[in-house]
Amino acid sequence: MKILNNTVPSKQQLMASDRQLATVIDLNKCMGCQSCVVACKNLWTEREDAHHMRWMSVATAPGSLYPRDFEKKGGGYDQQGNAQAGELPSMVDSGDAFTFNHQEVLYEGNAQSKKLEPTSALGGAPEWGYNWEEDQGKGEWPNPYFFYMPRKCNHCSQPACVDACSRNAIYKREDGIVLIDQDKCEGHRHCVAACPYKMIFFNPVTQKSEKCIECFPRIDQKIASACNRQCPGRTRAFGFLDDRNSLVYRLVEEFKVAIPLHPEYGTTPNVFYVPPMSPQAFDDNNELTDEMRIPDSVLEGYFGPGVHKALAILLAEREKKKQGEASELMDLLISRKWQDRFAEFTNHPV
Amino acid sequence: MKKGTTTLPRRDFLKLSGGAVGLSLVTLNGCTSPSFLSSVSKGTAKLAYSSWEDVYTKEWRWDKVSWGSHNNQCLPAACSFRVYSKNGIVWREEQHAQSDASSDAYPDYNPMGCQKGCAFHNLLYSEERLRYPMKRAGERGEGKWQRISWDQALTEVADAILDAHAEVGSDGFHIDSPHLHAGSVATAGIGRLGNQLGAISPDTNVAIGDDLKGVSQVFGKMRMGMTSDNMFDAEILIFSNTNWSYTATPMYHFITEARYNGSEVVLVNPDYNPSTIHADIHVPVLPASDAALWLGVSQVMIEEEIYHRDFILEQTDMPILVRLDNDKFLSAAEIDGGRSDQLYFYDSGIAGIAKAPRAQLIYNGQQELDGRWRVSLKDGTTVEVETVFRKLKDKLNREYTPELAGAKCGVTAKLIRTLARKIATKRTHFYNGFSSAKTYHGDLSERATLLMLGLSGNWGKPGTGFNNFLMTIDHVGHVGSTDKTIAQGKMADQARTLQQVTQLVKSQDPDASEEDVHLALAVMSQRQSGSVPPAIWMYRYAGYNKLWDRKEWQDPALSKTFGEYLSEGLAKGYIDPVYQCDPAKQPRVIMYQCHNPLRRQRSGARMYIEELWPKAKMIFSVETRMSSSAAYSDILLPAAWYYEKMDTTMVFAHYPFQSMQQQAVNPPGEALAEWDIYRNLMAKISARAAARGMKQFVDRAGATRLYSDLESRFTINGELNNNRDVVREMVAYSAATGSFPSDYTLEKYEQDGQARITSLGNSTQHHTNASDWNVKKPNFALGWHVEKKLPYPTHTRRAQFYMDHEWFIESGEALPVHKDSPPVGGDHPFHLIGGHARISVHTLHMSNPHFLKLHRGQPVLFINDQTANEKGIADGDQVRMFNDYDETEFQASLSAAVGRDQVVTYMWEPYQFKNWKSHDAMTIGLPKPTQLAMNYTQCRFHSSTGSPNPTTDRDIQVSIEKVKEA
Amino acid sequence: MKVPYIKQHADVFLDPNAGLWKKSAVGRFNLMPTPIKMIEHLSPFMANSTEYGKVNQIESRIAHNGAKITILLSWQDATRNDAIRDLDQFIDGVAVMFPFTSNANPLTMGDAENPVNAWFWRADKEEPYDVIAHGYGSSKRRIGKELGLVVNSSYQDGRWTVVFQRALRAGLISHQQVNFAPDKVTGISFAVWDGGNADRAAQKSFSGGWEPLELEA
Repeated sequence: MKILNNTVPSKQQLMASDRQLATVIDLNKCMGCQSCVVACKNLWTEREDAHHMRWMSVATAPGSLYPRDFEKKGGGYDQQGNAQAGELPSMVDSGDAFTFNHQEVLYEGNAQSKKLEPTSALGGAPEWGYNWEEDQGKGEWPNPYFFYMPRKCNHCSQPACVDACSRNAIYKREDGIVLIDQDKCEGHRHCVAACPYKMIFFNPVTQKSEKCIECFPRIDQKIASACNRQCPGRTRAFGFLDDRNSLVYRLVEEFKVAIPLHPEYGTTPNVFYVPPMSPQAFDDNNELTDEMRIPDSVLEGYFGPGVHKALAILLAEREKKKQGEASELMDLLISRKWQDRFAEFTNHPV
Repeated sequence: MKKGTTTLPRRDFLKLSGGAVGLSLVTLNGCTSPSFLSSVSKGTAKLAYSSWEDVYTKEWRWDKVSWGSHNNQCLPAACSFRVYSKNGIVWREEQHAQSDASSDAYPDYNPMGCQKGCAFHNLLYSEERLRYPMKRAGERGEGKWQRISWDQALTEVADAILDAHAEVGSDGFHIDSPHLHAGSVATAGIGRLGNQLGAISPDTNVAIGDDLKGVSQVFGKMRMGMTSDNMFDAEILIFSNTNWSYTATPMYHFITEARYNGSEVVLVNPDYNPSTIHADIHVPVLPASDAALWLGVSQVMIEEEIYHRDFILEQTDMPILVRLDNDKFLSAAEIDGGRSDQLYFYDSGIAGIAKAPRAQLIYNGQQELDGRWRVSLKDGTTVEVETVFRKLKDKLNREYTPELAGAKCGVTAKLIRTLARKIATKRTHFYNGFSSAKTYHGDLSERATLLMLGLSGNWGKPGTGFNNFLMTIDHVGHVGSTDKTIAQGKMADQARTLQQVTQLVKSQDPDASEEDVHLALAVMSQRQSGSVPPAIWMYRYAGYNKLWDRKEWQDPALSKTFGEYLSEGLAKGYIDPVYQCDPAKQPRVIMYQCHNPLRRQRSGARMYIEELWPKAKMIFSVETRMSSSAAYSDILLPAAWYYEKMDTTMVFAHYPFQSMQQQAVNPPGEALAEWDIYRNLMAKISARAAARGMKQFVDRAGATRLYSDLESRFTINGELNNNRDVVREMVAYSAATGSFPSDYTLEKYEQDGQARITSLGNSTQHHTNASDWNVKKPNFALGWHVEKKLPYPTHTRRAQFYMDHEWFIESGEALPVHKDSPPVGGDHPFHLIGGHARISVHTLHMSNPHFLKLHRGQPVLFINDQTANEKGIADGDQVRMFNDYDETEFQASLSAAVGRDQVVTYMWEPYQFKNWKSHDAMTIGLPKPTQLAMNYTQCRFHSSTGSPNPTTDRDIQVSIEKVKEA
Repeated sequence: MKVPYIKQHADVFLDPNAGLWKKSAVGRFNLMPTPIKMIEHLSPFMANSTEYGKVNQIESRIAHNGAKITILLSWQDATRNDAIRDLDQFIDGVAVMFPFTSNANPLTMGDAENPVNAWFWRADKEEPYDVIAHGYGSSKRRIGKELGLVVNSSYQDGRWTVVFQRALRAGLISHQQVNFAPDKVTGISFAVWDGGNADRAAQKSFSGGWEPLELEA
């Protein structure tokens, strides 16, 4: 965003950025461990007013994901670029913020008559919550399938949230990070409705909306964002999308194996996923086939038709390795040196 | 207000004022200490934030950054972290992430550390944290507490211990298998405490059930391992009895990266467990039927002659001769009056039997692999003998063709053949988790697995192996038992002891290897340690005779109950009397440190409460958090946790580093480091003994010990006064043994934060692992046997698949076979499987709200979706799980990832269940009595291995029904 | 509307049931949904809204005592939305707006040269806001109490009643507040938000143009 003083910025000015930071998440490596989630939470949202917010989330796919059924809640743009109406996730949709009864269970002389149990932030027993569908997936025995879907703000190139905020409180930094100015936000939540990924969260105490800030204070120190750096599965690549030496560039632009989630939402997201190569399926006689067990249609439903080509490239390159041949792509995905995943953002947070 | 510390009755966000919360009002603004970040950013361009952005930037500033790690006893439990604190409170932690690869050819270890570590500090400030000494104010377990002073708490504990000494003897004081969770210093401390007071303690590792008996039976040892990067060299990676995405989170990338590197990944689990999603092949075995699978694979390798003949001739007992008349090995005792452990080959070069080498593996004759011959004994009789291979081949052909094996394990014959052909022709690494050690016939499964690996020549080479459990804790063991520091000349003493034991062992067996000597030393040390076999201890003291002697629950192939085997074993000398757990000496004081038996001990929620604890006049716990078990204590002594005391990690070979743990902040309230608690307790016992006119006591070995010098013996005359002294001594030990560079110091360690292991020192495990340690390459076990032809420490001196102990013969397990799990707890339609939870190590993180909000926040039971539909169970329904013995309730989670007749759950804290009874209460943990054959070379009790695991709970049969709404 | 002068202590005006209010004529104003397409450039998403602004009438009585002006407002709202009990909930509110200049357009909340001033009450807040705006999307909320604005509210039988009161003359010029004076005519417009209908921001009912406001001496 470059805005001259004392002028009302245009949406174009608010959305403009010189460069674009991007994250790649390798779904062939993600084990659903939630390390990125706790890394983010402890840094930014371990607050009484923000327990329901998961700027970074991991859910089991297929499923209702996080926030619950966000794919059915609208927002984004249609193919002609028209803004689409959206709904607001509720507290329960947002994963709830359970409280627990340790005092009653442990210290109030109730012997074994009380058990430790969650209470919804809205009172009563939880109806649904964050990661509620953990490890459930779909399919039918012996061909069940699932994969993990890590999500955070896409820091879109056409951010619907920026477009939706009548207060002009949302803007892109020059590195492409989308931020909500907490001084300007009045909590009207048009951004929440407009974000097709529902990665903006309303804080009912401050009555302002909040979202992933891509750990910009770290970025400014050339330290990769917490979710990216703290991922023990080494699923993440991070850097500027126009940096030809960055792993994000190579996976997204050069090898084209990292693709966005729901590209049809029309916001040009900047989180990219390496789609999962699932285990071989069994046929009706319980014999192993050469087919992967996640149906193509399921993956296409998430990543669009581009997923087929990305998977074909991955499989072909892996086959080279199986045959003892070299594959630069596979070596990039391995990244023997973990730091190679983060382009210039390799400082350690000391 | 510290995040997480507020104790609002209900976290109703509506009632919160905006003043105390909210991004724009972060409480950190008041911090006046210099920011570590500002110094780092010196010289960089000044960043101009708009004022609101400053709020976030201010949140990214700290008073102090320390080294931290977590002795969580996960894998690897040694991750190096940076710990960020401000105003005396830890706010966050993050992986240090500077653990280099062995070489550029392999992935590095970064960023070592998982969700448990990345959120550990949340545990420091939650409601289950213990902050003050407390005494129960109601009945045991009633949950009424009064805060008391340290002086009162230690006085009452000291008096109780002195009472136990007076009434029963020093073995009236029991330390119930303390977990290593408390850290290296605490573990050494409780070891010293037990030693000084002559206490007895069920062996922790066996009590946990982390002992793969089948591996010991084959190799004579269980303590072997690899560095994680060894997997990168495998062409096939097989995982079984494990769920690495939950339990080895920071190492899981070695699997996904090996897959990208061209390795084929095969996961063998009854359920489609979460680690399986990145496999190429899921082998959906029926629960507890892995033995049948691998025996089927072995049959194919033999049938199709794709096994590695030279490897098994040299490395295994396959060419050793067995008598057909009594199923025992043919021994020199019968041939020429020689040693009973001198066994024979048949050598076709000389057309007769020949002594199998014992000092090494090389045999320069022509030993036969397959055959049956007639042999004359010294008494003039002749007997028929055949090779182990012949016995095996016949057995496999009779019972384990792919079709027959497939029927037992639920895998198609075609897939069994496919696996056999792949494994026989490719470098195969097999990772077997500890679930097999928690399966009644898990030893058979391990033996069958190793058989398949042996037939395919897949150990002792890069990219192969059967990873077990190489955990170097000699620095802990040293401080736990020594009477001298390194500076005082401990190493010379140790060398002298080793020399004496070497002479003794060699005098009994000139062919003994260095490894044999170390194991003999380990066996002797175990006898003196006060450590006893947990199964025997539980049988004698915790009332488990009421469960384990029930004939209807045991293996139908056995004619005797556990108790009858125990009596017979003691009578026949199979069991050393020092391990008998004298029923006349019942526990009077029981101490706990990081042990939660209401979860960990199978059916502990019944037996401990009903049988064991009523025998104790005092139960006291040294704990950081209120566990279900701690809630039954008479006295609670609050301990400092990680980040609150100096410590150092232990080493699991997967991650060949030791990490420094500094004290970042003070412990809360009056909590103290365990070392301080134990030192103070020793002083208090001396004082109370003096006041009561008690001068001395007689320990188990019959030696007289004074009460007056307990503290000075505990601290070695003040050399080891506190955690810092102890960590310094541990570093000195590691430097002296070569685990660290010889000039390494505590000061250097504090600077570095972590230290790469430069060798396995001169420990028992250095020998059992039997490989040179190389920091520049992946490490794996058994290299000395395969490359240097050193003998295995087994009865046959080889990797041994035939067990000729009479109990193995009578139970039909002389060879590895498949047996269905016995109907422990009764005959019910569902097979219960599971293991560690994703977000907790044991119950450590389980009851913490930060972690509880990462899932449903309550215990769930995974049930197959179709099965559930048929039973009218919907997702989220409350279901009752029961067997003949007990019952519990879960919330149902429906998933196709679970087989039709399986149910899967993980570890929970008992107080998350109705009546505080988790499913562990109904699992009984029946130990396999044949493992009481503790006289057999490879079944000896030492190094936290040997004796039956009282923890069998996988594949318990249960019934499920929907709970009717009240 | 005529704003009568009533000689009473200012505190009495804050009671909506006080007898003095009988001396002030009721103004009934029809309300309509704001023409939200006008702000499409500020939020094409909000501009798509259709179901907002259903409160269709507001009643107002206004009086002054020479020192303070008091505005009594009342409207029908079947649901009382005075707290955010869930993340998708909104709050009832009302505002009155005044122009600084005769050219200020109430539809756009003024513009850069022609600002407007508004008093804004929300059902979840003890204190009202004093708002200054230079066109839609530019509004700044100030703490009303610090600028001499007080409020009293009640909800009964499906109706909100809200009373605003402020000195005729605001404190400092720099505070950018409108001033009132006897015999002077200015304008007022009204806006109501029904939280139960997810009204917020421009999604509201409003009265359209300036209603003349004439303070009697």
